[in-house]
Amino acid sequence: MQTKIKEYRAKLNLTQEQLADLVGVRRETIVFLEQGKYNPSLKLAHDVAKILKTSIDNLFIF
Amino acid sequence: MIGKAKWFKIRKYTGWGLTPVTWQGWLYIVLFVAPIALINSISLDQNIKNIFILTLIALFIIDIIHIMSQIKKDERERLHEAIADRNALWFMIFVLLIGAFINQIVDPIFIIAIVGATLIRAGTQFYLRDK
Repeated sequence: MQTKIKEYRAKLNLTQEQLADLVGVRRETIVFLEQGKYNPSLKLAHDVAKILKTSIDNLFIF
Repeated sequence: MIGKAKWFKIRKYTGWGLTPVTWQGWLYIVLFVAPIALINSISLDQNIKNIFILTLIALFIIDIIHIMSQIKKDERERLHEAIADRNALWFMIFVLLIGAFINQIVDPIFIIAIVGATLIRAGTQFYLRDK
């Protein structure tokens, strides 16, 4: 799995810590998400996509 | 309740329970352990000592359970903890079975534990079915 979280996060000038706080997870979870090493729940994927103002399809490439 | 969640973190690599991460957490531990040691060292009737010590231990356990319930875990941490606990549980069951086989002992407590675990597993599956 690949993700574009880092790219979208950079567009909004958000740090990993800020994104983590906004979606209610630890920073490590965002790190592993960005590296494609963690397969998130649909809810977390939705929350991240919503914060980054995009869709799940754009964010996650399977 | 006495302790605060921000004083502790959940143990990951050194067993179960909590580890203090702030000086308040360490002080909290000392304030529970010191009276127990103090009561043990003074000359009092053993029954009175036991009542004090058991009350303190019960209070400590209740407070620790409350603190643990207050510590927030995200979905990745919950998943990892569940997998780690499952693996630990299977190891324990395996060793107990080997032990019972080697010693040729069928302890009723062991049977209760296995039956109880089966019932708890079934209950959990039932509870989670519609979640």
